[in-house]
Amino acid sequence: MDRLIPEKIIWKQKFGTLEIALTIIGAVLYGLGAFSTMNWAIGFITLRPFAFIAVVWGVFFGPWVGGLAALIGNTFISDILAGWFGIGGVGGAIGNFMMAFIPGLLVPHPKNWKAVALWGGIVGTLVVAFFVGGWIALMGFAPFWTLFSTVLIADVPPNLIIAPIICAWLFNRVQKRGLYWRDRLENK
Amino acid sequence: MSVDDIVLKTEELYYRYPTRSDYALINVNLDIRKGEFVAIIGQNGSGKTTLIKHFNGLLKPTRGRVIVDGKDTRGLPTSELARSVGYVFQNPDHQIFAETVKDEIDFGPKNLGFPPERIEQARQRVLAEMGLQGLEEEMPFQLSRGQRQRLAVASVLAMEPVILIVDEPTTGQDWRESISLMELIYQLNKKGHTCVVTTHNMNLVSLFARRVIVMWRSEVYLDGTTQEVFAQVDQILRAGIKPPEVYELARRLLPDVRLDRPIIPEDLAELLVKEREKIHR
Amino acid sequence: MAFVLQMLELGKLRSPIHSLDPRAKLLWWICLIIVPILVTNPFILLAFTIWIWIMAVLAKISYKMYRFLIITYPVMVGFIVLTWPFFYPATEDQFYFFRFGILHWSLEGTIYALAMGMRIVLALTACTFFVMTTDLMGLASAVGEFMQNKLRISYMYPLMVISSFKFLPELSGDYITITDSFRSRACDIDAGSIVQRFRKTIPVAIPLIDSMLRRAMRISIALELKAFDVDIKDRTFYEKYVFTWKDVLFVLTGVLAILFSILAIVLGIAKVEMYL
Repeated sequence: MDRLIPEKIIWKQKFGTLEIALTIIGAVLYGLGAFSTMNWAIGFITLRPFAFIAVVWGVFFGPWVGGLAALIGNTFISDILAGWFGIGGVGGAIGNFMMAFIPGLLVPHPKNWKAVALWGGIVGTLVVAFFVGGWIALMGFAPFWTLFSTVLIADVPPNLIIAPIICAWLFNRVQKRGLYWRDRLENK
Repeated sequence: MSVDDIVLKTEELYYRYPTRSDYALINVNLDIRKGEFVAIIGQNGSGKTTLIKHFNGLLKPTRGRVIVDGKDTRGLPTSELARSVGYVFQNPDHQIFAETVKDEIDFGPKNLGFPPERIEQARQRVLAEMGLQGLEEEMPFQLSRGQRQRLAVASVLAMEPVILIVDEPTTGQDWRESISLMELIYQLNKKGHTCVVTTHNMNLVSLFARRVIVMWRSEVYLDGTTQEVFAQVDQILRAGIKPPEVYELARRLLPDVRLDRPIIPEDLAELLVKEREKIHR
Repeated sequence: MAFVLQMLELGKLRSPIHSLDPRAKLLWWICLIIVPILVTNPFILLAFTIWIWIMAVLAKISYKMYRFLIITYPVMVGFIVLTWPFFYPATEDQFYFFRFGILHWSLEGTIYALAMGMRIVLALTACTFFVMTTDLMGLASAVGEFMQNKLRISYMYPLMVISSFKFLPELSGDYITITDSFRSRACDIDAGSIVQRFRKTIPVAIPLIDSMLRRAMRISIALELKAFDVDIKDRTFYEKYVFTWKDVLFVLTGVLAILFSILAIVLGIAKVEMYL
């Protein structure tokens, strides 16, 4: 129970209609969450309390479902509709994908809060901050550290604190409905 | 029980959704008095839900005003108005989150900053009122749909509101569960709670409500005692509502009799017997 | 929130710009993403921005665009403009407002920051113009058709994007209902200090995610019932999009914008120095 990585890392995930539906719903929820809380700000930094959706989706429904949901939700819903797409663009897409993919791949069990906090709250968030900050700097829109630190401030609290709580709280319900991805893999 | 004090008042209330050009509420003037049991009925899209969302400030009037328990809703957030108005949403699963029934019920009172003894008392009271005794430690998601609906009402009641608003409490439930829930709300009303219910179920309205407000095309179309409203069969049909058959029967069989209370088939039978006796005498 | 939904509707308006092929607008927009990356001269950027605004008038969305951007411009541009001067390399020949250790703010840095702000303005304007004149679902469908027929990529990916747009209104309805029901129990996630708000997010998230999962299961069944399969690669499409000469002309204007930028670089007026 206390392992921080799973015994066997599973890279592949077969997509059926349920995986597609979960991706769609995750994307909408992630995009909506980002959009509806645009007024939560400390100074110029817009907070993203619903960033944890990416981590939770990765842990519950697998790296690919989580990753694609975060990518679509961030890039196609929240970014395009907010006008950022040309700016946040590729970095935001890859970064958000990784933020869900990494915990999805490496968290051995959703109730293992240490693993969720480590892979989602710390590693995943650092990766997304790196990609977003790096892309924006590469495009020359803003210095690397400004966006890097902005993303960290916005995403660390939800991913480090809320994600592990939600994962533990909802896991039984997810599993009972037969939606937990590792169970689904075994059943196939 | 005094029936004179008005707990909820709307004055020339108009409302338009920000994205729409037509009004969703037009010139609504209502007084709801303490201790009333009001049913708001109307077709889908007639403005029922828009209206009751004004009662606890979820929507603010575009024009006119809403006075709840002496307070103008325009200046107050819903989280503050929750002290006066309890609003139970249609789908209990949209509000239940806690691990146990107890935590679910305590959530609202804690948000309002009630002291622990008062929370404890409120919980015991609403558990009894809603027939949920002994389920405190259960997981809400293990309960039946009817029990979850009652839990939703209980968790709102625990905040000790002056007015209780229940939006479509009987959707998705069988007749027995609907009746038992309405019966519980009726009991609350008898204890002095002011209750406002929206529903599509006319038989339940006829059984429990004392006053009926019919919404049609964003306006208050009819407003009166249950028997008055249902007796106007033609008008009510025009608003897209079918009154319980017993009223149509009463109108045809006893055109001269003015009903003094809501009726059920047994009452009609009784009335017919009385009339027959009159004639025979 | 209502605004998000309005944005999706705006793409369906009728105007000379709206009637163009969505793929043409996509290509044009990609050109307009490249332009502010190539150019940092604020006057050239301003000229391009004005050009887009003129087209916005043609597309009858100028007022809506103004209303939207007035919310976005000041915050983002202000943020960029206020942070750049600190990162502008400190050399001896600048006019300094203040200089304290590694912290410094000079006139040259401020001008540079304004130029950088102008790039963001152009990028934001172009993106907003694109979104407000394009039916995004039509675009996703057109791109999906291209991907399946030419690249043999499953329709699954465009389907996910299209469906996300489609379910947005419905799910935002759920979101509003759930946050409202918590508001009715004196738990308002949009009020209070940041820490309080974070704490309130958790109870709201539980029924939110839970109701979404139920929806996902229903969507899955609906897909199944309509015989959707990830592996099908010869799906047919209902709407056919055809590139006309108008679309070609429109894309050409975007290409011309890039060519102009390159010309400006050659002439030495584009100023693309970057300090990161």
